[in-house]
Order: sequence, then structure tokens, then C-alpha cells
Amino acid sequence: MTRVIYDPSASSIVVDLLLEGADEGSSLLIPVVLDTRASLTIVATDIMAQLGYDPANPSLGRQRIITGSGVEYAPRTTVRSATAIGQKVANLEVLCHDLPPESGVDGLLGLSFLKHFKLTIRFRKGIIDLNKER
Amino acid sequence: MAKNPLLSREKIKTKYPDQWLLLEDCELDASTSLRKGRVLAHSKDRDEIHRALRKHSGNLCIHFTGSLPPDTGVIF
Repeated sequence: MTRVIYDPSASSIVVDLLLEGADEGSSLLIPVVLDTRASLTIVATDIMAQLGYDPANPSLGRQRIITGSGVEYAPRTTVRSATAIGQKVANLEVLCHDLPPESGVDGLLGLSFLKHFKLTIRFRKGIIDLNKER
Repeated sequence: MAKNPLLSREKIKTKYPDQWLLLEDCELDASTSLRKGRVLAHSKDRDEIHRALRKHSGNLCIHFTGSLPPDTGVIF
């Protein structure tokens, strides 16, 4: 069982997401909001570029996304692996999209990652458990 | 040049409050949360940390020690 303790009084749940670079030997840990409303995992464009995924590549597919402020299009690519709350997903689809700096995060941990596991959030206690389904 | 010391997450938060940080030599716990790291750059401005990121490679970590103001809601 893997568990994260967070501040239950916080206005959002922030966890660390470890992304493996396009080339072996590079990785980056970034803060992301756990967001069960987000279909895909979202990572800032600068971060994806640093990891060698080239979000400016015109051959990448573009995903239509509906945000709180309207409809936008963002490049979609696949990272070699992503790990959060002690659980790893290989070949995870990620959208390259920037969130405002005021958010305090570099992305969103969405359903494309979370759907692989059993997620339990105890909101009153500030406990997240993420486990493989049996 | 000598490396900065390895600091715990708690020490980092105390020493660099409300800042974005770029860290190297990061140690993670079993839940993939940052435990310790060595500060490479720190700033109140996230873009500065993203620019600093371009000068480094390997296994790195971005960390934010601030929190949203209590009167601010979040909708993505």
C-alpha cells in the first residue's frame, strides 16, 4: 500500500510526480494537483521540453481540452514512465499545457494515470491511498 | 565550487519560504514524495526556475514551498 498524507485544510491536493525523460538517465520530480476531473495528466510545456519530449514538434497530435475558461488545444505526447504516490505507469499519455504560476504546481495528475489504480481519499484526515486493484 | 548542503524538505521550507526551487541529488520516500535535496536555484518566480532548469541535466526536482492564500479557490 502506498499512502500520502496531506493538509486536509489545503484548497487542493498537491502530490509529487516523477517523470522519466525521453533519454535514459534523466528525470524530473514536479508538484501536481491530484485532479479526478482531468481526463489526462497535464505537464507544463517547459518541463516536457526539458525532459526531451519536444512539445513544439508539429507532428504531435493536438488534444481538444475543455478548461474552466474555455476550449483550447494542447500537444499530446507519451512519457516513458510516470510515478506518483508510490505507483508507476509506463508509457503515460500527457498533455503539454501551462497552468498559472499562482497555482503552485507544474501540472495535473489526471485520470490517464489514476485509472490504473484503486484510489481512496480520506478528506477529513488528509490521507490518500493508491493501490493496484486485485 | 562546493555543492550546497543536502537539506530535508522541512529545512527547505523553513529556509526558502514561499519560493520555487530547483534541486538535485533528491531523495524520495516510498510514496514518491521529496524527502531531501540539494538546492541549485530558488526564486519567487516560477519562470526563473524553469529557465534555470535548462542549464542542468540528470535527475532533478522542482519544488514549491508556498501555499495558496486561504481565500483562494482552485478550479482547473
